[in-house]
Amino acid sequence: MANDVSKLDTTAANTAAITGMQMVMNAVQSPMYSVDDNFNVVSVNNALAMEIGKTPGECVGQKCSALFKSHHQCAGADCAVKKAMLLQDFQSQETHAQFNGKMMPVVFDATPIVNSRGEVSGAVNMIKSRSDDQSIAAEIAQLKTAALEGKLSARANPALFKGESRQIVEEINEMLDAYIGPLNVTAEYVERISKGDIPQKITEKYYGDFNEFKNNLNQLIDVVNMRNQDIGLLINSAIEGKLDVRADITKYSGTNGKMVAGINNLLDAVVGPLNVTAEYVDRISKGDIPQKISENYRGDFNEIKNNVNHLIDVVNMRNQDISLLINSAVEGKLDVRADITKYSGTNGKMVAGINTLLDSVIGPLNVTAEYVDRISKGDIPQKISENYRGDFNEIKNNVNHLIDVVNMRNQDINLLINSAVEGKLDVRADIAKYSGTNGKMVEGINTMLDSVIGPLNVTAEYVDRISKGDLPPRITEKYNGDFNEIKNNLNQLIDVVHMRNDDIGLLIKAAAEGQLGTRADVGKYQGANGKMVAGINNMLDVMVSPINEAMRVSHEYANCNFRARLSEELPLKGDFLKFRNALNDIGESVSTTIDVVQKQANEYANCNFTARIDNSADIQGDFVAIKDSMNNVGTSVSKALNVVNQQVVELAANAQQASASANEVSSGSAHVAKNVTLMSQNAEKGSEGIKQILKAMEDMSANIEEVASTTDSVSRLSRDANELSKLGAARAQKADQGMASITKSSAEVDVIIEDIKAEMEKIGKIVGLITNLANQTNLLALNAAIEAARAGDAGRGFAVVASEVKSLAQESRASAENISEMISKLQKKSEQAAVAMAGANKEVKDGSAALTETLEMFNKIVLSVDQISKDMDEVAKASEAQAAAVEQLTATVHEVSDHVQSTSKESMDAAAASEEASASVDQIARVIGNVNGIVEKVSAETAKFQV
Amino acid sequence: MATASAARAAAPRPQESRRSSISDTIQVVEFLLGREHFAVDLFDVKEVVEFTRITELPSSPSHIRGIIDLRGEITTIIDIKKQINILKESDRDEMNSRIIVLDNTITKSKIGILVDDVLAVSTFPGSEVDITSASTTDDALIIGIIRKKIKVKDSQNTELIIWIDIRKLLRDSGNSSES
Repeated sequence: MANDVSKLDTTAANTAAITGMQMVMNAVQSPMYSVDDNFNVVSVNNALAMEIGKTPGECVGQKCSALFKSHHQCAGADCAVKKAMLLQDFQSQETHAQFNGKMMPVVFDATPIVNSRGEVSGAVNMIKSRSDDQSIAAEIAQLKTAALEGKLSARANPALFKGESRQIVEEINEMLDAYIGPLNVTAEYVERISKGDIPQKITEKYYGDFNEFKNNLNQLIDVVNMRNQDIGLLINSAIEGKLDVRADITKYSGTNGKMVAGINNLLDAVVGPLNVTAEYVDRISKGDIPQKISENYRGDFNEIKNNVNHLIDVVNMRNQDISLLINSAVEGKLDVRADITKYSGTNGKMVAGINTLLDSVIGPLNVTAEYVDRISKGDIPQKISENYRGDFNEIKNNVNHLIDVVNMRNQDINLLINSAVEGKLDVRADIAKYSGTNGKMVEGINTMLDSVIGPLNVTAEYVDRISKGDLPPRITEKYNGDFNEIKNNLNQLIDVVHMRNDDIGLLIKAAAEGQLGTRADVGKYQGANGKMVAGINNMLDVMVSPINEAMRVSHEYANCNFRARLSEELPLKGDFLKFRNALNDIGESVSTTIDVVQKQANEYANCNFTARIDNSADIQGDFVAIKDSMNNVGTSVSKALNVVNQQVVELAANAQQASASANEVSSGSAHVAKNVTLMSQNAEKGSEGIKQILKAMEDMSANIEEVASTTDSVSRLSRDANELSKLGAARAQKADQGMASITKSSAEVDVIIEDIKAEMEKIGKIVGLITNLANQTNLLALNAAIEAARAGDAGRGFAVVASEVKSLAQESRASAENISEMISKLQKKSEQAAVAMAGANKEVKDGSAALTETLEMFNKIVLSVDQISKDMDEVAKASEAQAAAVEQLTATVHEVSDHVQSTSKESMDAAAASEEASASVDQIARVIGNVNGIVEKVSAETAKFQV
Repeated sequence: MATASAARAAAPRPQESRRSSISDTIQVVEFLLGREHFAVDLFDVKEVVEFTRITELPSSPSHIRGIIDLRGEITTIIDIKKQINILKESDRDEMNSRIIVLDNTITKSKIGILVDDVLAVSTFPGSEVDITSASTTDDALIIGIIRKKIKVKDSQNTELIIWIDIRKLLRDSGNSSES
């Protein structure tokens, strides 16, 4: 308030300043006034005016003490205003003042107004009601009492106050809220935590120490939660039987983890023994009896340990007793029983029971054992008559039944044995009365009897048949064991009999067929089986050897050796002697006859055909004919010789006649020779003329030769030309072939192009399909978009799908179009290729045509050359013909010449011939001479014979 | 028919409010008639199907092409080009045309409209729709013109799509469900 108010200067500026100050003071809620240094009121604010009950205008100019009364003496030493003005400093004074008849406690805040010259020109005093303060103090006292009583919700009532006081009260309330709020929250949290309703951590923002509170509370909540979790974990694990689970206490700070650690320890302390017990019980249950527990336990755990140990003792004891009983039973000591008195309670029941079991089992067992013993020794006891219970009765019945069966069986066996001894081989026991396999033995004996008697019967029958000569076939049935031996022996007997019969048959047949060398093979017989056959062999030998000797002698006779005789060394007896003598006699007779005939023949050889065999020779039978024949020979020959003599005489006479004729012929041929010489001379003349002709012929021949050679060279040239044209033709052929192959290749290319076209059409069809597909897909996309849009929000996702499908459709369509484009390009290209191929084809055709023409040309050349050749040949032929003609002519001339010569020659020949004729005649004469000579000789010879 | 439609034209129409204010976006089905693009409100459309053989009905107006069997339901096919007198023939084969089947809410019987091709289902902002220039009266067939910006080789072209009121079309042809 250092407004420059210069001692109530009422100038305009001052007035303005005062007005300004007035405005300022009016703004202040508390009563306020300003005075000059004489305590005249300069301005009063509205608040004070209201308190006083006057208007501000009424107050100005009056002394301030007039406006209101204060407790202190106005303008006295206590007056704050005065003091302020004196001391030129702010002064505050608590006092009482009376406003509107009401005395109320106030505070005067006075401030001196100092002008620009530093002089105090006045003061401003603000009156603040202390009643508020007192009330505030009262309120505060109330609040304090409430707080001490713990009524934390108590608050001051700001409605009782106005202005700053109200503000103060409100702020006090807010301060209380600020303190008590967190406190309440803390109280509430602590209450909830104490009741176990763990709240969420505090998330609101607090400031300063309250934040500390909040953090601590949160930490507490954390710890409580953590602990609860751990405890919960341990509890659940224990419930689920996971006895190893322990909580981790390291995450706790301070002694927070003590409880959890304690629980861990508790678990350890309990679970330890539990595990040991569990393990022991497990082992005992598995039969692995452990050692007694020796560790020390405390309290109830010790009880458990003792009980487990006791259990182990009992189990061991029982096992020992049971083992004892079992071993004794196994070793057969059936009297041994266990002592049950050492068991307590019902522990011994089992062992006692086993004892009783043994008793009740062994009694009947002993009886049964005794009975079985007797039965086994063959002393069949009487059936058991005592009464037993349950299965023992069964055993008794079974033993009795066994006795019955044994008796029955013995009877049956006796029956069978006796029958067999008495030879009643058909008797068999009835096995129907046996049950189960009891009858098996008797049945077996039946079967045994069958199996023995069967083969026996068969053997008897076979031996019977063999003895009667009715050889049965070999036994083919299968027998077992020794029966098989019998069967084999029987079969072997049959074989031997067969073999012997066969051998005898063979020998008989051979003898009947005259195969005298056939002998039976005795080696295949065993033992003395072969004796008979060997004997037959010997018999045959004895019979056959004389026959063989006789055959030898006959053979000798057949070879005309009649000197042979049967060997004396042959041991012949009986009828065989007669046989030998007979044969020998044959030899004698024949020898004699031969000698006689020989003698006669010698006589004839000596030309004595008069000799005859007379009856002095001892010739009989058929030989007589020989004798007669020999004699006849002599007779005939004599006669013949006589005839010959006669003829020779006649021959001599004829030879004479022939000689005379030959002479006549000789003279005739001399005549012929003369004429021929004449002819020869004429022929010589003709020969000369012919020679001349011949020379002219030769000249012509030479000319013809020249022509021939020229035609030859022409021929050669034309041949060359032919060759070349043929070569050309061949080349042209090749080119033609090449053309043909080009044509073929282009045809193939055409085919390929056609194929390509067909393929492209196919592709085109497929593209059409794709396009169709794309259209359909497009349609689908549209419909999908429609549906998606109609579905609104829900269809948004679907709308995405629809748009994807649409783009897919578009891509497909684009691809299809691409492919279509490519196909049309390809088609254009293939068209171009086809056109090019067609062009090539045309070229090839043209080339081919040209080639064909060329070929024709060549062929024509060849033809022409051929023609030339032919013509040349013709020329050659003609000249040859000419030459031939000339030759022929020459030849003819030669012929003529020859003829002439030959005539000449022939005439000479004729001359020669006639000479020859002469010679021949001479020869004939000679021959005749010879004949005569021969005649003479023959005569001389025949004269020798005595006829 | 004319009198009936006139009578109907005199009756109050609930679409008026729709005409005057366009919401933020519109969803339409774009289709092709001749060479021009048209569009109808998406929610009036049930589905789009391919062209199938239409069985003609005797003594029916020229714009009614006939009927088809659409999954067991007899659907009347309206040739929209005849009805709104578009003479320009499409250069597409009729086998490639499409039938827009209308939703049940706007017709009492099943109706489909024959169009040359269905192009897309699109959403346009209301700003791109011009309602004032095309419609001469409130009763016109054309609701507005949609400006569709399409990119053609680095330059942006604007295509104009004629948004028509399918209900009006049906009313004119006497097939509406409204009385």
